[in-house]
Amino acid sequence: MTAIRTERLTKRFGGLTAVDDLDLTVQEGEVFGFLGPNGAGKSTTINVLLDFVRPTAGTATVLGRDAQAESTAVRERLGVLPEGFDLYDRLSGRAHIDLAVDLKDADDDPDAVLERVGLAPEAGGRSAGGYSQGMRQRLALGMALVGEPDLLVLDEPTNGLDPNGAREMRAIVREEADRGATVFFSSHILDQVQAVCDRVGIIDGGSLVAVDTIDGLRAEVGTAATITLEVDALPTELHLTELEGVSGVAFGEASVTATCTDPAAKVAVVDRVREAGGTVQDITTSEASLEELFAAYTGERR
Amino acid sequence: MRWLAVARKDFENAARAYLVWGVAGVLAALVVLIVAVPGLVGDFSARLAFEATTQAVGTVVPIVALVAAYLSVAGERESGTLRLLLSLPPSRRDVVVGKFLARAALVVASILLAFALGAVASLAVYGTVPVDVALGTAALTCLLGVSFVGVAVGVSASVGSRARAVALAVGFFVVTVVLWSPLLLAVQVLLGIPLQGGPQPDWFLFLESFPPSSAFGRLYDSIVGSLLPGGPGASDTVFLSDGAMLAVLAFWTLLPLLFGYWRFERADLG
Repeated sequence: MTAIRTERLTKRFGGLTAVDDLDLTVQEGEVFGFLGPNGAGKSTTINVLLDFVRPTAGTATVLGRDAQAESTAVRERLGVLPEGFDLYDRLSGRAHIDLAVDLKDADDDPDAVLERVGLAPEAGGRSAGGYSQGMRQRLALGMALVGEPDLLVLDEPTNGLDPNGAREMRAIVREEADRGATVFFSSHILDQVQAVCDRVGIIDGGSLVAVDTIDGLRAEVGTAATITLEVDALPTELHLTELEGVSGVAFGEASVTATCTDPAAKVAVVDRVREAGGTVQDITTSEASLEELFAAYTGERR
Repeated sequence: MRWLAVARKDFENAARAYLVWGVAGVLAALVVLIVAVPGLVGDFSARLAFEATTQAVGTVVPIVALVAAYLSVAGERESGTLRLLLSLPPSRRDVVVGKFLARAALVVASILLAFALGAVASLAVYGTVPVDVALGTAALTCLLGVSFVGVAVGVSASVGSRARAVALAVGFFVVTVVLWSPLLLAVQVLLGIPLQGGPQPDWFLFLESFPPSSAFGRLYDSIVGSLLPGGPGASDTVFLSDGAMLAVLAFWTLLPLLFGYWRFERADLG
């Protein structure tokens, strides 16, 4: 069974098309990163899955059930960290977890849940009105974890978390995936996704522009591994761009950086520099960052 | 039973709002003062003292109920707590039903508290508590309060922002409590209906009693008034009978609530 399937999903708000003919499939048990710049349609898609908004056309199925007609049954098996949520300022953190336990018919121990998301029992007893942004995010994640959901939907989960908090969040995502849960994780911060996701989908302008593993995306774009050689003196007459698989060259004072679309081109770059009389002192290489991949997929549309 | 869990948490949260305590405090102070003052300044009957609260209560309880409930759904929608709640399993119907029950319970509790304090004042000033009149007054006041909670939750569910909710709640109060009599006067003059004493058509008398506060007043005169020496009695027209007035209060409790739910169920909560 698939965890999430949308078919020709379209949502328009007045004249604005937020989601455009979206076909998306997330398999059970995978950690799926849903990537896109702000305003690309990520939240609208998630809002349809949660039945917060109703599609203009097309369908959405979650855990084998219609997201609209069977929304309550869907949400019984879901753990959601929604975007743009607020807490009940006058209720304690623990009361929030209690609410999730009650409404999901679960039997979790609220203190254990609070501890798991990094909130001390003392903090759990305080009113949520005094919580920092990071604590709010942790508490909402705790509510999502109640009842061992089959599917976790996390909309921009690292918003407001410091790097430490973001790392703990990723660890929890991994634990949940190991337990067998499917995780659907939206973000515009790409490093988060790179670290935890089995597959990613990139959405832009309301449509999916790519779905693959991170390695697969890299191979497909074929981009942007770079090699930088530090040399004692820059040789002239390098003609590096004539080499097969080299797409760009940049020079520093005593360095040369080549962008290689084919990994094998790196060795050719080193050979060419040496042939031209340069003494190579150091070599550094870097793979395409997800940022660059992301730009490669979404850039052309703007 | 998810509506019950929603109602419990909502009661807990709303009962901690200062504004709700403020208006409930005003209500309690008014009831205590109106009951106690006539007996303190002269010779007065405790029964009539409780009866004297109805005018003030008929105006203040609607305000207590509107304040306690007008943000119940719209406020959560604007702030985003509704997203948190609806990410959990309850349906939108569970939310509207739960909110209505919680806020109705809150208003009923503050009315009962006000009359309990009124009873204490009565005991202190008159040495007695007219149990039948006090209970009758409190019970009918609760019906009035609940009908305004229905209006307020209905209004709140039908709109997406606090500003609209407050505008509609104030508008409803102004039209049904403040402006109803002048509006009817205009109708009377326009249609040439006799102003006082003369024969007035049944439909006009019904219209006069149609706002929740007016229905409460007529029901009060009929039920509690009959307990009082020389008080007004029940009306003999079907339109103005106790049953009709109860139906009017039920109408105000349920119809706005159903309308609000209908709008809420169809809304995009994006």
